Amino acid sequence: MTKLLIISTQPPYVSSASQDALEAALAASNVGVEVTFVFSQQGLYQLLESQNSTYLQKRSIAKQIKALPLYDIEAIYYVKEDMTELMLSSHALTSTAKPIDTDVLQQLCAASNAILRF
Amino acid sequence: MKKFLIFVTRSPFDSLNGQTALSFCKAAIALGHEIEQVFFYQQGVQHANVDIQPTSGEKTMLSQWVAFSEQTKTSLNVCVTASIKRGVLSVEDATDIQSHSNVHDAFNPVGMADYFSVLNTRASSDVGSLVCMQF
Amino acid sequence: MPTLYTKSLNKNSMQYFLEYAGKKIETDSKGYLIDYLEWDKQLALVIAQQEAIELTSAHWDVVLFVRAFYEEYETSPAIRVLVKSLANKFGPEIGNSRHVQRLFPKGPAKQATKIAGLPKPAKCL
Repeated sequence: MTKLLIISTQPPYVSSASQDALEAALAASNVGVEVTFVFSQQGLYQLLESQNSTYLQKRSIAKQIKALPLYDIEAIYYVKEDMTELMLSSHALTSTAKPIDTDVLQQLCAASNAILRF
Repeated sequence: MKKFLIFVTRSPFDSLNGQTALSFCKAAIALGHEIEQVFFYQQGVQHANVDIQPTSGEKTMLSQWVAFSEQTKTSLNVCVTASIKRGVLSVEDATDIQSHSNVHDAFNPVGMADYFSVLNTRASSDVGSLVCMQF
Repeated sequence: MPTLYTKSLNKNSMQYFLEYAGKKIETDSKGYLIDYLEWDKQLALVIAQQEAIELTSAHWDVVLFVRAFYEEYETSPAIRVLVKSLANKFGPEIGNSRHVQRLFPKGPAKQATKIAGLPKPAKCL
């Protein structure tokens, strides 16, 4: 099975990058590609449980992330070092994503047939 | 020999990204490799937009892609879902809203799943020879 | 009697409304609501009528289910996910594609979400 790694590096709402990454993940999973989804750098802000996008008239990115497992995307991670750097706490982030170290991310990169970075 | 899948994500005027992708494609072919397809996503869909007017004295990216596609028979595929949100309308989408289509004939409006299906079938048949490049 | 009424902004860009019971609800060109919070059960009946569907309790199960799904995930379920999730909640009798196809002949994902006041599921899914 083809392995696709998607790395989402941008904060939600300020650009379409986070939404575009999610849509790519769903499309890939739908045709049987094995998708691994990693949040890195400012992409971790997408995982904040307390986000509210009503004011922005945008669909919630956090809620859409929680739908990924229903689309057979179970491998959802964030980079632990980036969490520390951004002074975020793991309690503030959705439990849908699990922490990994940078060297694990490197292994994921090496094990993937394709990588897309948003 | 490698087969490349090219993924373009920035628009022609605001970024040099597409020009770099095209140069890469030409160089790869010159070295005997193959370009499986070029896929346009995010703002990259603007490469297919015939309504974009060139800066005076510059060649448009569109004309360069069209010439490249004619010479090399490379498929240029543009994501319909990403396109419609950005005002780049296929014939079908334009008809729906009684507007005009502005996707150049040389570009095929496809679903994103199409790109990933190619990745799936190619990668499983000849692992190692297919390379995805994101620009 | 509900009426569908449109207003032109300019030659290519239209605004669409669904008018009923003295209310004016904005929709897209295909009749999907712009703001899913403007929905109520009365409006579901109006949209269903336009889709030529008479809502039975079997329809309501699916309509209310996709609505709850959207409230939780802010994404309209694609058909595969809809069927799978329905099966998890109601069992295989209801969570199978033939059953929902019979209820919503023009495509369960498209029609159930429309009647539920939700956006259309993405094309490529």
